[in-house]
Formats: sequence, structure tokens, C-alpha cells
Amino acid sequence: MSPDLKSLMNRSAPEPSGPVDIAAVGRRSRGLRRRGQLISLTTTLALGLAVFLFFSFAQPNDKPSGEENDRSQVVNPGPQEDESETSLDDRAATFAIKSVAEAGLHDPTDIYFDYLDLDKTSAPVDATDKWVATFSGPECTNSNTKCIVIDGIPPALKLESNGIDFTVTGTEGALSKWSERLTGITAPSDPGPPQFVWEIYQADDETDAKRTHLVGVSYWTGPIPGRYFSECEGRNVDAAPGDEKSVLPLRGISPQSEDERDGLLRISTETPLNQGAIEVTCDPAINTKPEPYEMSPVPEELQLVEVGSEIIVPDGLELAPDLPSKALRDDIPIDIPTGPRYVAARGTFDEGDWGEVEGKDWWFISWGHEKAWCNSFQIGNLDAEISGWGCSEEPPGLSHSDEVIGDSTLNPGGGTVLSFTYGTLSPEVATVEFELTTGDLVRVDAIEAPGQLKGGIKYFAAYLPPAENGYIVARGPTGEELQRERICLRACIVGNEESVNGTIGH
Amino acid sequence: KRLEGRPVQTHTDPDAADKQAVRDAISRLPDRQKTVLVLHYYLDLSFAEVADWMNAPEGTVKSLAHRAVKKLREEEGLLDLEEALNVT
Repeated sequence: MSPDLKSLMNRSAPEPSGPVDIAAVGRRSRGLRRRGQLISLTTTLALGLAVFLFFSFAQPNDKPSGEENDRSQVVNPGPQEDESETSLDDRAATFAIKSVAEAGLHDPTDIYFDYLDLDKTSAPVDATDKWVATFSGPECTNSNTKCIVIDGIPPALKLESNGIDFTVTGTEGALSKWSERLTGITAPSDPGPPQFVWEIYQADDETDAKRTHLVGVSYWTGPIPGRYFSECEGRNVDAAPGDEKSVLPLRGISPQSEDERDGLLRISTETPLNQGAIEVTCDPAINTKPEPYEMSPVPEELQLVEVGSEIIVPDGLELAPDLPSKALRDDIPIDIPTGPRYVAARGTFDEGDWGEVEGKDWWFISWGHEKAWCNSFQIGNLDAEISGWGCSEEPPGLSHSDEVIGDSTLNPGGGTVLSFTYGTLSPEVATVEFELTTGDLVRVDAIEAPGQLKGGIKYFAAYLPPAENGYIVARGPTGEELQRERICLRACIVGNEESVNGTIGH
Repeated sequence: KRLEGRPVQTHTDPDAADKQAVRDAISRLPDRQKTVLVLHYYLDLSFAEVADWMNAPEGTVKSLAHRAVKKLREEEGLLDLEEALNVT
């Protein structure tokens, strides 16, 4: 085998304590690499963007006067209405949400202005009440084409009420783009009872067929904090008589602050519904869309389904962090956990020996990013496409210099993080030592390669305690020093990555 | 970067510079991509065999290979990869 092949292979392995099966070690190491957080610890980076708000499914309770809420008990699951009256401010907030929805800007599948807060802007001097309703959404950056917060300025609607009607009188920030559509919208300001509105726009099925998920925009028209209960169930429109309906566990809605007044609501039925049109009925009624929702079957070629996600970064697809995703890998469903996720890379199998996947797309989804330690031997091993923060680059907020001694590299684990290093060796190397500037000395044996690689290459792997810099020393069979090189420990990002074939759909 | 017990030998192959460029570029690939390229193109293992060796689905292995080749072409500017990868 060409000696140059040695430089092409890199296998990871835990610190050996005896004869090691490299293939098995490799499998374990892949597990270690995927569970980077087990090797080095730390604080998970906040990479995701807060795009949507969710109502919390707090347990309802009857609150005898003077007693604290016990949010762990379901005291009265039956339908109830909040007895508090809806104030003029509550109605103004509802009017703001409805105006944005009427203008087509309350649609998570397209563009979504998420109601945030309401400010009364002036004392009524001419019998006119005035408010400014602010909204939130993705921040505008160079690569974000569906943003709505420009230069930190939240979009806002100006509202007025003359005691009879509400009217939109102006727009601010990104909403100004739709000023013509919004300004002049008017609606009666009569109170009506407090109401919970849930407009379902998507239904999908879990691959394990345990339940059906319904997703929709929702808002509460009553006072904050609010409380609303309803008994809901879904059924297939074409279900035969006697076919089961499925209960939706919509037992309690309790927005606690103004920013929880609206958002996305995702409810899973207790039992699955069939493919096809479904309808949802609630008692008391929730103002869901009157027509049934079409539940789309998962197409054969659809490999990754993202519920309610919004494409934010055109050239680096960012998946909504709070929504679960599923993917099919070689026809086996897998779950991509919630949290910040990115499409690290994508492509199409062009001409070549790709077999049945020729012409199909591939995606690499990356998640679970955490700060860790890398060293100079791992340059290029970490996938810089995941976050752009491999060993050769510095994550924001961390500094690095190339000085051998006295390097200012930070230890993200607060002194308890281990660095995992591994690499290849020439066959004449017997042991590898790490002389660290902390005075620590780590010595590991060189590991023989298996099979046809045996005799042509060896491996090493070691856990290193936190240190700024040091040397790696290769020693021969009699302990003689064969080579000495400087190493530099740097902070970097590690994470999980999984590949899927196919396309992303909604 | 790797440790050796002896100095690197000088190549006399007239295509040595190109081959070395490919190998250097491959050495800079992430771990899994590098492994797939070497096992498939240098050791002539089929994608199915590479998948078995790496304990990964064959589709994943193919995606890794394609991603690696794409990276070498686009980021490293190596256009004649097929010829280079077919020579050990």
C-alpha cells in the first residue's frame, strides 16, 4: 500500500486499554462523534431563531379565592368560559391580529407577523383611543429574505377607536410594505364574549401512525391572563358510520402574557385519523375554518417533513427549532430532535456510479451543536459546513492566537472539558505522548490497523485534559523520540449530522 | 497533519504533484467523507461494502461520497478527480 494512503485515513477511537478491534472501535467512535456532548461538555449554543410562539398546555384549575394556582391538577376538564370581561385594550389587540390576518400576513406557510404587545399611545383628548400594536418575527440579515424586523425595529400597526369602530390608521417598520392593504381596515368594537380562535392550516400523519397532528394559527380575544376550555374531536369526513373519531386534548388554553395572545398551536389527536379530509368540531366552538382540512399522505419521494417551518436562509436552510422533524433514511423513519437544526449541505446525484439514487437529491441535516475542544490534528475533520466554526475558525465570542505558549484559547467547559484527539501514525511509532503546558503528560499506545491496512498504518486516540498548548511526541519501540510537533487546542463546534435522501416538503 | 518516524519521501512520478494535490485535499475533508473516498476509490470497496464497514446506510455513504467529490471540485478546484482517484 502506498505510504501516502496513511494520510488519507482517519479513524476515531477511545483511549485503548488493551487489544482493540478497530472496526468496533470505529463504530463506537462514530457514536461518540455523534454524541459530541458526551465527550466535552458545555453550554448549547443558541443558534435557533425564535420564529413562533406557542401556547403552553397548562393544566386548567378552579381557583378558589385566596389559593394559588395548582397547575399540575386538572380540576375541571369540562367546557367553561372565562367570566372576566373583555376590555377595550383586549379588543384592540384582537383587532390588530385580525387586521394582519385579513391582510394575508398571519400565515406561517407564507409570511407571519406574530403579535407581540399593545401600547396605548395617548390619553383620549378627542374621544379617540389610540394604540400601537407591535409584532415580532425573523430579524433581517443579509441572507434572510423573509424577515420582518428591520434594523431591530419591530413592525407595528397604529389603531384608533372612536367608541364605535376600530380603524387601522398607520403602519411602522416592515408592515409599511403593506400599508395600502392595512390602513383603513375597520371593524366594530363591540366586545363579544372572550373567544379562542384556532385556524388549522395543516394536518399530517406520524409515520408510526399513532396520531394525527393538526397545526394552525391561534389567538385569544379575551383578557390576559386568560383561560379557556373546550372539548374537541376530529374525524375523517369520509369516515364510514361507526368509524372512530379522535379526541383532541385541547383542555386548557391559558395565555399568561400579551405576547402569548397569539401564536402557532399544534395538537395531536389521541388516535390517528385516516388520510383524506378531516374536520374538527369543538364544544364550545373554536372558530376553526369551516371547511375540512385535507390531510396529505407522505409522498413516496418525500424524505423530510417539516411541520409549519419557514425557510429563512435561502442558501442554508434553517429548520424551525421547536418543531419536530422526521426523515426517512433508507426507508426507515428516524426523528431529528428539536432544537437548532441546519441543512449542512445538499446536492443532487449527477452522473456516476450512484445506482438507484442517480438524479435524486441528498441532504445533510446537522443538529446538537455544542462548544467543544479541537486540536490542530483535527483541522478539517470537523465539518465546517455545519456552522462555519471548525478548528480553523473562531466561534463568535471566543478568541484564539497561534502562539505556542500562553495561548488565550478559552475553555468553554470551565476547566472540566476533555479534548478528544485522534490521528494516524506510521507503523514504526509505538507510543504517542502529549506534553501539555499544564504539566500533564498523556501517553497512549499506537493502535494497529486491521485487515488489509495492517502493517501500513497505525492510529492513536486520547482524551486530553484542558490545556492551552503542548507537544505531541511520537516514540519508537525503545522509547526513542521519533518526532515532536506543537499542538494547539482551540475551541470549536461539534454536533450531530445525519444524511437524508430526497426533498424537503411542508 | 500526521506523525511519521521518517522523513517524507520525494515522489518521482511525473503526475506526482497532481496526485499529491488530490491527496492533500482529501486529507482536509471531514472524517466521514474522507473515509468513504478512500475506501471506495482507493481500496475499491463497493458502496455496499463501505456501508457495512462504516456501519452506515448505503444511501448515507453515497451522499458522503458525492458531497466529498463536490467539495473537492468546488472548494479545492480539483477538476480531474476521476483520474486522480483511480490511481493509488
